[in-house]
Amino acid sequence: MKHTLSLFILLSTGFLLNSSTPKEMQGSEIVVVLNPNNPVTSMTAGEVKLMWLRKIKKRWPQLKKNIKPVDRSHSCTERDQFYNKILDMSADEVETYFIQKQYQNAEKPPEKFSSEKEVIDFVSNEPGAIGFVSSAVAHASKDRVRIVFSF
Amino acid sequence: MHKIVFAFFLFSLSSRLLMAQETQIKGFADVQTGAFEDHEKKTSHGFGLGQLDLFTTSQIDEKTTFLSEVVFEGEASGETAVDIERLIIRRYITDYLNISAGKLHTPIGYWSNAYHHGTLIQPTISRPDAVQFEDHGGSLPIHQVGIQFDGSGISKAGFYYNLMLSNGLSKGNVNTGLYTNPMALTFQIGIEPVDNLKFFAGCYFNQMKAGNSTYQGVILPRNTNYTMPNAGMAYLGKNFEVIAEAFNIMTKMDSIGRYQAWKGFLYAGFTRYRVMPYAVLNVAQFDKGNQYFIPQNLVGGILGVRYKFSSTSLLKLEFAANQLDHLSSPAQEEMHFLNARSVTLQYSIGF
Repeated sequence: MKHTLSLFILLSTGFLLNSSTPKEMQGSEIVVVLNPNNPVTSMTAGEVKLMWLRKIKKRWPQLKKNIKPVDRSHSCTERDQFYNKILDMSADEVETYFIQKQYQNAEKPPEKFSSEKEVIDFVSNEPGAIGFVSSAVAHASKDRVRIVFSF
Repeated sequence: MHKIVFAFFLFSLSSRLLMAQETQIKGFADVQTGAFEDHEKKTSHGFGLGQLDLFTTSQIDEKTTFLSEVVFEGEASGETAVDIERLIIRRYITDYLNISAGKLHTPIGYWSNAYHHGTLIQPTISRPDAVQFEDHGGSLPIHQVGIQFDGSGISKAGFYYNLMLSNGLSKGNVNTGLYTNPMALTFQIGIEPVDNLKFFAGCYFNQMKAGNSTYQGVILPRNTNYTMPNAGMAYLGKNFEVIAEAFNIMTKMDSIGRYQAWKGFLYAGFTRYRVMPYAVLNVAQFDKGNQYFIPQNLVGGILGVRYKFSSTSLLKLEFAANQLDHLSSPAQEEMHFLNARSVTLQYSIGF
């Protein structure tokens, strides 16, 4: 009984620690980009997750514009990495999450684009947008978007 | 028939009017097959249409959104019923204050607000008895017309609140603005201390005049004060989810007395790959002689499993069994439905 209890406590502690420790970010191939008019200059992985999912805030506090998450319409390296490393969610879970938000409160799901160029075009034109692209593409468009996080 | 044509007209008109904004029309549908045994051990089986749920959402302007949910549902008579289940105009004021007006799901508990009519999103085929819809034998005020104030993400504890003023429980003119009975007040507060874990509590208050009818068709003999404190918790993790809710319905009738009823449920499910087995325990307990409800104590359960093909395609297999103490009102068809055993296979989609 004691052993079972110890094992239970050990497993529970491990589970809690695992769920509360931020994931280590490795590499720097993908970057999170905002519109240059957005005064935010840098973000943490946790902030990116909360903002992109519109989990707590619906609007950028200083910009006073709606947060508009930008997604890719099909599976690609950038999207897979973003879902996996930042959101810690599968594609199905992300889709379900936004279906539920739309169904409950009429919250608009992310804009989806098939190419990185379209993501850059949208983010550069939309003050509240937040998207992710490869580092190379973002750096080539440095005057149109602001890089706030890389992983 | 006229209602269906009118609903289609309304639906297409609203879609066209809102085309200028960022409007999306989506929907849910389900089909099912199964076998059913009622309280007299009579069995039936066959295929069935579930609900066709069309919902429109629109970003009217930077701070205003619109949502409507129209449900088409086949009835036992062969007719098709059409209902505007929700119609919400919502205005963002701050992150801590939104104002919604229209027909909403009353902010009682978690299930009632998280899961509406689309069965794709709901974890089970059958809703727990406590939060069953009014036109499916449910006795709680799930839908209300009124105005709601809400806010979330307040402080690090993730505090949230809902406050709703609405037309109350009495039948008649609840949708028209010509409601003559006292208004109902609902409040709910909750916290989300860690991701996906919520604790919440609230209360629903309403006064009903003598002569009004309850959802179960009981004509009230006296003016009645209806108070419903409720509380619960919900955890919806990646591999495990649990929702527990309890409702205490206190009705005080002038010069007759005070009655209490308890309703509650516990839902739990585990995910393994795309498969999720789940179980629900339903309980209802009424004071003897309760004159507000048709007082049938209930113990019931659901065992089921769902398989997720994708985020918009889901298969559920479910066995449900409920046991009522007695059946005092054979005319209550919906109550008969509660006192039954059934096995159901449902395929639901989102489009």
